[in-house]
Amino acid sequence: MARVPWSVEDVRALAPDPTSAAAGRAQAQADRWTGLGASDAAVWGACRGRGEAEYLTCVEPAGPAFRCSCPSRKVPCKHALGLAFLWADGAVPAGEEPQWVAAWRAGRGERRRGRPPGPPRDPEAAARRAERRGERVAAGAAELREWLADRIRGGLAGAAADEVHGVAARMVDAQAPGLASGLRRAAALIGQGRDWPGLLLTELALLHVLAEAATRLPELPDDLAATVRARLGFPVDTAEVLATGERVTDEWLVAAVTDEVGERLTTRRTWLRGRTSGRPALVLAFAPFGRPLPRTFPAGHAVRGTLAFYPGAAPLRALVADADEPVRAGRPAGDPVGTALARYADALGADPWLERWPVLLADVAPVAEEEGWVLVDPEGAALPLADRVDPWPLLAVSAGAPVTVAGEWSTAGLRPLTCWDGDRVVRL
Amino acid sequence: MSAWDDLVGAALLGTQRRRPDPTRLPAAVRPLVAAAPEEALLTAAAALANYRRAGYVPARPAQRSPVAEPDGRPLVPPAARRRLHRVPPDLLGEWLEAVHARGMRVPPEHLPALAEAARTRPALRPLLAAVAGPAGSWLGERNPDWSFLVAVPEPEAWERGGPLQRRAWLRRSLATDPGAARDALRATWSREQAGDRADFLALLRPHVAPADEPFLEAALDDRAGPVREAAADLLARLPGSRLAARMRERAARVVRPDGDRLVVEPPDPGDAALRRDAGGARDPRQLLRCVVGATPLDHWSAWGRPEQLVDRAGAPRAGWTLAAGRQRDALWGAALLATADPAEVDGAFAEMVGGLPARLHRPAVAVLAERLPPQAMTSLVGLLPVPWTPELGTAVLDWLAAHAGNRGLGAAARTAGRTAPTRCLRHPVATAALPVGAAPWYRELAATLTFRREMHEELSR
Repeated sequence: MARVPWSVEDVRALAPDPTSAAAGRAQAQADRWTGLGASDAAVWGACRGRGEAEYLTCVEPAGPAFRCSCPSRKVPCKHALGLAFLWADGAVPAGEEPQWVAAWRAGRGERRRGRPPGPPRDPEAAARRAERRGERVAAGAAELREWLADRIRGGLAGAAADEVHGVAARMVDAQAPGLASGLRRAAALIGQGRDWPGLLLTELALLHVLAEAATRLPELPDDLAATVRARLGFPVDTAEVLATGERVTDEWLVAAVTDEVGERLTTRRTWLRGRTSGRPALVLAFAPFGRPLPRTFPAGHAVRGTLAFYPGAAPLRALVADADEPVRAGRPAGDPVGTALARYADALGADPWLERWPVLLADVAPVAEEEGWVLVDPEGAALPLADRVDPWPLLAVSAGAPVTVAGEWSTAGLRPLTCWDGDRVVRL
Repeated sequence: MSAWDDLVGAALLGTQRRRPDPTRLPAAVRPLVAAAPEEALLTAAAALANYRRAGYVPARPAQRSPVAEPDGRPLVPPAARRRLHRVPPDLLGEWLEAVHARGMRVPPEHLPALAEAARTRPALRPLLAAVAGPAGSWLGERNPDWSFLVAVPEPEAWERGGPLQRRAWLRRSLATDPGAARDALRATWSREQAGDRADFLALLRPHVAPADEPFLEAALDDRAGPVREAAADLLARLPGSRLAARMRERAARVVRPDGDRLVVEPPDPGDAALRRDAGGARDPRQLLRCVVGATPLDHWSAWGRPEQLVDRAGAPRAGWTLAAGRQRDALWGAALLATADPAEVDGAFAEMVGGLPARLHRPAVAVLAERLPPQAMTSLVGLLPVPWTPELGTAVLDWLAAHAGNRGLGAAARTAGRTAPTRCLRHPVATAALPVGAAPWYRELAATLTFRREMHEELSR
């Protein structure tokens, strides 16, 4: 088999929900399957279902694409997941594609090629649409500033989450999803924890500045305007980023990968770091709830390639323009705490709405302080772990010794996502 | 009060009640806030908030954590690491034992989840502590929920260890250094809790030797009933003990041949010396079983060979079954099981079957399968003492394979799937095709055996 099989975690991540993952795991028993085989492009087999039924199942890892003759509406179904688990376990032998697999793959290829092209581009209509949207966002931003002024006049003590959610809904109508999500974050802070008034004021004050910036986009420098538009939630055409975005070629370390499961959308953040440029980059991948995420780079690997950065005052988000296959990498060189914080301060100066910043810390050791665990670098400077983080897997790897840790730094503290046990990468 | 606290206070109350003091603001921020008070407050707050974020000053803790001793053992191979996620809780012990036996360790990031599993399954704790090594000790010292991971130095385990560590130490030492183990047990005996005393005697059972007699004889007068019972049981396992001699005398009075019959005169429940030797039993039938069960089996040889005696009218079969198990007597065992009745299947009966020489396990199970209905066989399988010999495992699996269509054997199949020793894991139940009409337990049994085989194989690679 030329292709490297997925890991069990990869397969788990493809499951539409945890129940499906468990059901798929239960199917991953070789004695339930007949005619198992794998080629460079596909994995297949026949699974005995309930009673007499037998289902034909095929997985194309590259897509990934799944097919199963069972009646389930879930994609991938438990049989496809079971087959993928078996493959991940190394329990599927190499083989020649049987007729039905070849026929299905050929059919899928045609459908893909035969898909009608998108609607014809009309630059004038597009410009009109963009202008209308700009007007609606500006109107929404003005409304938000008025509401904020009223709220501050009356006092945050009287703020209710329902009221804030109501304003967020109006920002959605005004096509400013960035303002809406900021308000929802603010609503979630009300009454939570000892320091909620300070955190709420921070969130609202930054939204206020964003709303103000939205009303004077044309006056802003291009980079800052791009940042403001991105924070407001204006869509960016990926084709344009690939065509005109800043390109950086490097050997990129995949420092950390984390998934955020929302109500409707699962977001995967992949944090990269250029080995020679030292530049951080964020590659996002999305999947509607219940659907698998596209394949992304695995944490701890290195990939040689070119990224195209989205425009902005502190460009961080990027698209993969061109990349080789990821290869396993050893323990990377990291920064001391002071350097990581200085880079964060620089980025924050350019993009005041920055939520989280990637850090790669070298040789930090855990210490239990009164407020919780902190990581101390060799120079004695410490960053606290965020309250919500389960510190124990990282502590178990370290057992008091210095380790290299990659994670996200934010006002809430450090969220470790990857650490290295010697040269072995550990996803936390 | 800092400028930031001043802003938060004003925002909380509302600018209509309180205005922030502009003179507190840093000079660079002041020109930004000339507008209406609300706008001014929000703008100043945005500037100060990011000023605070960007100027975050890292703490400088005075203390450092101690570092765990390095652990030189190799990690389990990658295939075993992937499997760890799906090892069912009731096989975790076997997995950990296999890892420990090969001198390997678990990737440390899995230790917290394993420690959580061991919180609800105390039997896993000593094993996990051994596999977790110094990293486990380090975690156990920092998380009170996992204190069972803290290694206690070997010589101090008995004096200072927790209840499970002490049991683990005693079990190990009785096998490796019996003299030291017995000295330690005697040294602390008078200070031990009743429950611990009974458990320690149970651990002594496979190792009990004539030298233990004085100690056990004293334990017959223990304050706690379960301890007296355990001591009587252990002494009954020593045919040369004084207790065995006393029981032999009683047996001669209680059971007498009369032509083709055996006449039993039930022992007197009022006999305090008898009750002491019987571990506190009072019921005449129980007392008869204790007397016969503790009498050396050669006592009966004058009356005939076992197979001539076992089905005589009035034969004290329950006592003989107990004695055959305790004395591991193959002739008596074979005679009793060849004439077994379903109602006789109990713990003592299972101990007798398990105590037969390994070469007799397959014929024994075959004979029993002929005589006993599946239900009685199922209870027998559940009661057989562990660990099973490979011969016993094979015999039980053969029996299950021959009844593939019987839907009532699920419990026996579950026991066999988890208890069959590793040398049985390639049994045809797991490797041959599923028979037509097999009951659901059959597939499950095959899957369990296959899972365990892969689990052991990938650790050996």
